[in-house]
Amino acid sequence: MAEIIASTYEIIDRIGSGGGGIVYLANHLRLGKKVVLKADKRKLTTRAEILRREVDALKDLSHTYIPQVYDFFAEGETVYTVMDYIEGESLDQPLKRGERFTQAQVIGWACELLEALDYLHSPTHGNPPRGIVHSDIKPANIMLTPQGHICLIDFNIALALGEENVVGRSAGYASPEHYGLDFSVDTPIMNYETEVMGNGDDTVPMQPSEYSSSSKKIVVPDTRSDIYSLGATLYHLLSGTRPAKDAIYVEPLSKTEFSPLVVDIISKAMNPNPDLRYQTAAEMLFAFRHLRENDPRTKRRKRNCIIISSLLTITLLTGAFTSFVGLKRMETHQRMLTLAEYAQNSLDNGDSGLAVEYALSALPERNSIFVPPYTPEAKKALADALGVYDLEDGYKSHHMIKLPSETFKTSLSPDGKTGAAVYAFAVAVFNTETGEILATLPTVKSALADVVFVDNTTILYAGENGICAYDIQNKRELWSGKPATSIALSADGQTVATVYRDEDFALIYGIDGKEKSTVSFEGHKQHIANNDTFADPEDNLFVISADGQFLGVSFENGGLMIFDTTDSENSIEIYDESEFTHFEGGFNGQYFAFSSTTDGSSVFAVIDMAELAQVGGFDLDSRIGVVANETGIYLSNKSTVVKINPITGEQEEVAYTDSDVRRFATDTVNTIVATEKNDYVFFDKNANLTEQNNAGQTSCNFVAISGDYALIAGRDTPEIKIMKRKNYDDMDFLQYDAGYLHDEARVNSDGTRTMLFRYTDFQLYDENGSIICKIEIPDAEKVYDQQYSKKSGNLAVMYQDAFRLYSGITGEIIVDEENLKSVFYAPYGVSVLDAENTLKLYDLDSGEVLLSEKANGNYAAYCGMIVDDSFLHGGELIGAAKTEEGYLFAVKNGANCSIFDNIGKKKMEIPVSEQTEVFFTSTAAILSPLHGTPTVYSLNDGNKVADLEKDSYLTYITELDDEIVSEYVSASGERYAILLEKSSFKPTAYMSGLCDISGNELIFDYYKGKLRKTRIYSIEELIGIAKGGV
Amino acid sequence: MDAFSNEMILYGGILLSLISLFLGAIYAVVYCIGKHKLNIKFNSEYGEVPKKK
Repeated sequence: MAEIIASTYEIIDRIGSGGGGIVYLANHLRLGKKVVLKADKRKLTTRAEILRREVDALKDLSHTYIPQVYDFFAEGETVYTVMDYIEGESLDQPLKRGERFTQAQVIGWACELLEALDYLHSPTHGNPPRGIVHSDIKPANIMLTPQGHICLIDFNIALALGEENVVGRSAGYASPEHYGLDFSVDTPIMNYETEVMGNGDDTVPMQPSEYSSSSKKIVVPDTRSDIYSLGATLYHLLSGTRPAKDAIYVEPLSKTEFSPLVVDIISKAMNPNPDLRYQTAAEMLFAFRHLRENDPRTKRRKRNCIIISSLLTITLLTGAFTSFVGLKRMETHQRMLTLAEYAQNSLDNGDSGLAVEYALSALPERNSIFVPPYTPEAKKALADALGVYDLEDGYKSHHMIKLPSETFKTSLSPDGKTGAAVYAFAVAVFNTETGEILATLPTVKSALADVVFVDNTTILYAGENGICAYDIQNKRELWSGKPATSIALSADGQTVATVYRDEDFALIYGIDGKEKSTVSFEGHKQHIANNDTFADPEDNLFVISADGQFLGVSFENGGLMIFDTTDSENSIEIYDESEFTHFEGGFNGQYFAFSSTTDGSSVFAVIDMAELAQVGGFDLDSRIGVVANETGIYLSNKSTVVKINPITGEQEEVAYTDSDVRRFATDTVNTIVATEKNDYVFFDKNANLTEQNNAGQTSCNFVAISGDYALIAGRDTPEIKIMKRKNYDDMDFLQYDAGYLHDEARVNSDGTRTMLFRYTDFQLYDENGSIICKIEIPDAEKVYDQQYSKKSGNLAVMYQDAFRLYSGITGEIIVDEENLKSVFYAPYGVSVLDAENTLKLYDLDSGEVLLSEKANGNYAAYCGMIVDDSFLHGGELIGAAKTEEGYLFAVKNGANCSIFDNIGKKKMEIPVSEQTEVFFTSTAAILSPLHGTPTVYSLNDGNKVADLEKDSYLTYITELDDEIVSEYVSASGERYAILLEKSSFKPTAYMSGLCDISGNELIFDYYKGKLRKTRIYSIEELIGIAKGGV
Repeated sequence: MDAFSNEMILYGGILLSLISLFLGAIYAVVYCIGKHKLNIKFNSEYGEVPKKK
């Protein structure tokens, strides 16, 4: 018969016993549920109310890994605790069987145990609130359920009961505090004697014995003791070995057999010093839960990941940034090219000021990596715009003024520094030096509106409401008068005559604006169109004499009269009416000179106003243009401009062009002529042509010249071209007879000798410009080449069968070889093959024979080796050079040119056509066909590098430090040079008239009796010059 | 930088970026494989990560 306890529990089986009592499996009779009855035989010494309180505390415990306590009662002398029945076995059982658990299993159980402990230790449990300490954690008190979870059983009720002096301890699992040892100080203090009973497996209650007289502290197991016990339990579960009873003798687990982190956790939990253990179960649980994160492998992976990610990110950002830089540089490069093109276009259009601005924009400051190197196009644009390599005297394009609409009339101030232009319907006043518009003043709405300079700072113009005098400097109107279109100013500057459209009278003003008189045209009117926007003011003559007395006026009926502004009775009628439609002329002193034109034929006449008689004249079947003022009377007819003496009729040529003169202007020193071919041509006072250009889009209807400035404008364009005269006498270094015709001018390296030569003769000058000798070259018609040696100044003259070398110091002949089979020039010497087949190489500077050897055939030259017929095989030696590495020579054979080195090894082959000359630099071979474009090939790989100047003949290639100078002769015989960038062979400057290079110095010859010198400017210097002027 | 043409700089930068992306992709794959392998190791050493309740 089963035993019934408390009428409720039927004992099924005895399932265990220990220090605390016997444990029964029972059946709750009413609930029909299995429970565990733990019978405690210890006498109840605690008061009932304390007991009740503690039971209540235990009953409130509810956790997955802690069995529920249901009841607590006493029957007889036995106290029974009723709790959950946990299926499974305690962990000491498999240990006793020798079973081992995996680390993973142990860690899993450790986490569950720690959760339970954390729950137990929580201060919310217990009364008064404090945690519950198990105090006897060991494998035997841990149940392993069939599901693999654990359950912490067998709480020490005594502690829960508050009996602090009753402590159970299991050897190996009990903490030092269980033995009263306090390792939190330097030496462990035994507060009371201890007595170990039992076999160590059992929990043995410990009783306090006599206290040491030196004991000061009572050590009671606390939550950290549970930590120790748990650690010891885990130790046993992992290793299979119970840890040593004394905490200080516990052998650490092997870090090779178990994970080092797990070993460290257990070691820390089992630290004899409770202050050095985990202070809470939560802490230890945290350590177990974060094993992965704290594992060195994880940390290593993270570290590697950070490093590699950082490197890849840096690489990506670097790549992205580099791409960005490349893109910005390409953008900037393109912008540079575009601006350089704009600059070149502006220069071609005659606006050098704007060209300089564009060129500067194409050369931004290189203050960041986003700015690429300067393009050769931009360098050329700036060099050309600044004109630093143009040393020829004359008028150069300076500015382009752009008006809002087409030009009606232009005028220049006496000093040329201010200009004025009438358009629809205003007059623009501008500074010719800077191109700046100084004022824009409204005019009468007529194409006949006129503007005249009184002096350098005052203009008269046909204002909106009448004639106006305007002070340019102070920007204010001085006076105004009645409506006017045409204006005439007397040469003495004191009298102004005006006429308004086709009114039949003129008004005469003093220069102060006071009306002086009215001149009646006696019913005649000047010629205007129906809509005088289209009128041509040039058809009408309206001029006043120097003293303001006489007014010359033409009329629409072909009439021409001279009125006396002071006496209307004193007027002269030259024509009452006529067929003439176009009149030109003016007053020169007492003379009135004019031309009348109809249908292309003209009449010219000069009237002496003092005698009132015609003193000269003629008629032609071509148009005669007349400009008459105080400087003289000038006529143009066809392609000639002459100055005519009104007294003698003598004519002095002022200009002669290659096409009919359309317009001209002169300031007595220089003359500008606009031709029917739309050229504008300048002449000096000796009628020498100094400059000729084509106006391009601008029609040359208006020309003016004054001081250093000239002005060209057209009726059909709004642009006004301003030219400025440049003089470079300060750059002269040698003067020669300007009448001596020569092809080349060269200077030797020390500058002591200058030679001007051509195939027929040469002249030699010293450094002072004194002529040393004039030598005629014999058999000049047989000369096929001449070469000047820079170092010595010697001149080598090559014939088909002869060679002569002339001294650059004295002009005497140094070498005179005749009857030769072949002559070959190279910069390092001239090879001659004489009749005896002796090949000699002459040094061009000393005239010495550097080499004399026998050669075969009828042709031989020395190019580091003897190149004769046997090598050439019918080919032609077309060039050779001596470089640092040795000799290079070029042989043309059929359609190919082969480049060889001095051992005869072929370096490359390039296709060529026709007659070709080869030049060499240190890195390139330049093949120059007679009728083609010179092409540059790299000596490294034979690839084409660039094409040079088209339509001109390449004569020289000179290699400098950073540049190459290529010299040409154009189809028209003009000599010029182009500066090339050494790496790309792209042009960086145009140099008209370059005749020689001496180191960094450039020598120019414009065939006008002077040699001029300048130097090569760096791009930084050019930018500085441009900025200084802008 | 002037020793290189603008196009070389651009294309060099693009190439560098592409290389870094390519290497990054390879590394990502290697990393994921390594992480998976390590997880397997951890599972065997430390047990499975408990599923969150």
